[in-house]
Amino acid sequence: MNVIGLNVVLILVLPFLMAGVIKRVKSFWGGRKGPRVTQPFFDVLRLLRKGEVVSRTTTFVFRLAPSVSLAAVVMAALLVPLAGNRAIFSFEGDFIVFAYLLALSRFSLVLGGLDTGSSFEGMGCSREAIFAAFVEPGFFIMMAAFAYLSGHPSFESIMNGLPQAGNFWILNVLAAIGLLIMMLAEGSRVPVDDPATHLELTMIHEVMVLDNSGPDLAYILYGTMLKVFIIGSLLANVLIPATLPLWAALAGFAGMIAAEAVLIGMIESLMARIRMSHVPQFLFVMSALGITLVFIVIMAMVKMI
Amino acid sequence: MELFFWGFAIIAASGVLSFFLTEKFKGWLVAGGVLSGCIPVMISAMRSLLSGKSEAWEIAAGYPLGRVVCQIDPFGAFFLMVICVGTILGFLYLTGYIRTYLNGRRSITAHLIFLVIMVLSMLLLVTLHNVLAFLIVWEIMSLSSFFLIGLESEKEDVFTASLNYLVMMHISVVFLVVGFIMLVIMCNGMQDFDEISKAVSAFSVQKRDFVLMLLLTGFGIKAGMFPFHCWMPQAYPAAPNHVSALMSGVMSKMGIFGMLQSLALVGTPSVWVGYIVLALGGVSALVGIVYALVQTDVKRIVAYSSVENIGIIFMGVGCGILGCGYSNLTLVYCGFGGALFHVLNHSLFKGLLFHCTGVICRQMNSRSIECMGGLARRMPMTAGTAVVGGMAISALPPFNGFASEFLIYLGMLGGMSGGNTLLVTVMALAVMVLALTGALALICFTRFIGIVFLGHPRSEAAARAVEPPATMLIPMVIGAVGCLAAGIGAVPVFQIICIVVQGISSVPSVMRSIEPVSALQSLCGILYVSAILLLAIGVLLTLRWLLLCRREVSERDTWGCGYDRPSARIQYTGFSFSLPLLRIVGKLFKNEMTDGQVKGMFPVSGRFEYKPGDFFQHYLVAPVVWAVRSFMERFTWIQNGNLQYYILYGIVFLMAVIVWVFIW
Repeated sequence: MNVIGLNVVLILVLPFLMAGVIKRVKSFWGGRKGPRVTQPFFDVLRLLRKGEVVSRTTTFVFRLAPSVSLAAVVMAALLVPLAGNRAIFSFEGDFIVFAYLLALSRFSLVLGGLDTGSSFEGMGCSREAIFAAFVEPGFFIMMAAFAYLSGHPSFESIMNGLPQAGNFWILNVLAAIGLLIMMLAEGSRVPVDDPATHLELTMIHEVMVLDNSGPDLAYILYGTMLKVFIIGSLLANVLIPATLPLWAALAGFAGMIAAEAVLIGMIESLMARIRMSHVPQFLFVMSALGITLVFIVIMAMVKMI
Repeated sequence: MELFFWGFAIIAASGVLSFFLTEKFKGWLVAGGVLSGCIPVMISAMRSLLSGKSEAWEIAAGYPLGRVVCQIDPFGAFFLMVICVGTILGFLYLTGYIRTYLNGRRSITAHLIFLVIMVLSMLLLVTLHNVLAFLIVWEIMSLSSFFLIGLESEKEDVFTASLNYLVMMHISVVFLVVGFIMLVIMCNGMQDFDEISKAVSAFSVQKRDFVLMLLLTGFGIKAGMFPFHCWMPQAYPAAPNHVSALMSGVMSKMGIFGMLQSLALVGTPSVWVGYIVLALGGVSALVGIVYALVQTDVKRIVAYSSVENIGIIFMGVGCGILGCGYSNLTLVYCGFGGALFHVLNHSLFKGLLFHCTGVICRQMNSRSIECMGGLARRMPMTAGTAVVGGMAISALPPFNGFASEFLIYLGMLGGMSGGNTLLVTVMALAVMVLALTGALALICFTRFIGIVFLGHPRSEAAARAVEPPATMLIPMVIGAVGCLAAGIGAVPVFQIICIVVQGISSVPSVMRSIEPVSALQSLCGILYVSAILLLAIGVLLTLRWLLLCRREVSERDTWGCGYDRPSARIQYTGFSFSLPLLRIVGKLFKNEMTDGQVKGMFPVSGRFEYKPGDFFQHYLVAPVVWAVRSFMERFTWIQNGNLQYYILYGIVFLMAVIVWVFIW
């Protein structure tokens, strides 16, 4: 019960704060003061209280898409170990379900975007679907390597089985870099996508949801923030030792999430978006890291045996 | 067993009786016969599946065949279920679909008879346990499907595709005949499967591996394995839709059945056979889905995705073989089990998708996705079932495709716990390949659904489309419900499949009494996830409805980014949707682009055409065909059309045989 309560609170609060911190950091680098850290929450709340404008072209797909998408991300969040490395649901193979739930969320948003018949949205959909295809294999091979290391293919035991200290800290660092790339790609952040650009041609995620408004847009915004948060918490758990007492784990977790938000803000302020045709190369780095991980793990295990 | 023969007789009788009816009612009679015949077959299959026992029936058939055993064991019964479900849905659909052909210009009598023959031969195939009888029925099945593809053989592409199919099937038969003959010779002329599998274990593993590779190649061609997949994207689009649904959903599964059956015959092979099957499966899956992604012909998209799914099944089978070799319990159950589960799932959603494309092609009179669009507004039921099929085939929870791919993933991860370095490395790469396939399938089917059903209509015909009649809609809805049901009910289905896996005799006997507990627990986990997911969707939709029912919801045109005269032609097309990917994998295609240059300041017309040609067809198959052909052309003088010569050949042949028998 304890875990469920704690995780639900974290899932409801931290994504907004994370997004707020990112905005604040970006404002700082831009020489502005920036909105309050809680502003994303009020943005979503405001959208929930609005009516909708719906395109005449659209069908039931457009209306269902945001709800299905958010439901899938929320379900994925229930599988991810948060503070203290404990998830609400944990079973063998849960990371496979996690990846496919994110895919379900993407599937419904892409169909929702295509339903409007707008050329810009079609472009966003195409890019969103194709770029994600380069992230997924990297994630799977990374998790497969860790599952081999820990002996059980579930998030919790993967995180518990990670090397705590000593010679193999390089594994944690490689995984952290890989997950950072995944977070930037899945969360539609710079250098893969630019959420603040003003030109539709250069967007990916934002242009896909151009026609959504009101509660639907609120769902989509929260879903995106939640996605960044859950991949961020995977990253945090890779770096935080699993044996800490609960208060220390909680503090460490919150600190890691805050640090990630600052990092994303800094990347976004100091880097430009990569050219669209070069994004796949950037995302392939993740698969390359994953393959490297597998070979390090295998060599390590063979030596131990 | 009697029930099986009753069902068989009813189907056969409906085929014969259809001779005596007018064209209008033939389809109904045959569909009714198949429906009422499949039910007893399914009952007897279920009985065997639930009890795990097998029933046999024996005929002493005389000289060439010997003792013929007809047997329903759990393994055959599973395939009987797949055949029956696919056939019932296919024939229901047929009653509506066949109407286009009732225009008096063509008789459908022969077509229906061949359909019935194909179904009967598949039913027999999975029960017969005799080498020669198996081969004869196999040939009947291939020939009847050849005639089915060629229904519209006056069209040139249909004609070449059906001939191409015939040739490929006979190359497959050559491998099968050679393999089976070697097996029979090794066993002193025994023809019964059970006797062979007992006798064959006395031989060295190299000999058995060789025979097994021959059989696997033969069955692999039937299933559509890389590099023998080229016939599928030609034959399926050429065939009428109910035939392509039956062939892809049910008949190509006979190749998988044959593979597993030959594994049972020949016994546990060396591990390298498993690695080869796994590698071929992985390549088939990737090649299939990459090709599906760039096609602009709806039926070719679905046909290439069959190559992908067969590849996934092969990966599962490869894992199972490796599991037998390394005696790894998870790998055996999740590999074979996942493959069998995917066989069932693929027959459900591929049948559904072919039925959907049939409806669309009928309405549009075209197969190009670039002239479709906006069909969901006019045919919401068809669109809804297509979305379900697309989600199931992209392996998204809570649908069935996810459950089977999840099992294969679990098997691969379980294979990594063995400690063998080679196995661990290969399994890690296989996980990656499967993940990439899944992600590409998602692109492929968002593209398929998005371009065909969503957006503005891109042509006149698309704007006038209407829902098909109920006879065609009902099987599609049943298929969609089946996809969800098999996904939610994955636990009981997998329990039944475990019984089937225990019946595959190459599974080491120590493993047969154990249940794969951890896999079942994980499937229970998926069940919870699916339930909560559906609940969450329900809650979010209700919340949205509650929020919106008191507020204004207005309808406007799609936001055109400041441009207020949009037309349907500025929409993203299927080609542009997959262009970013095509830029990366373009080398895999034999591209044909005609790029008409636009001229002048205000160009009025421009033309661009893109045809993704099959690289393997052009650079792998075509050279072989050319070489064989130019060699064979030297012997054309033998066939000179003169009857006297042919009689002379006959006499020479007979004399040679006599000389060989008496003097050798």
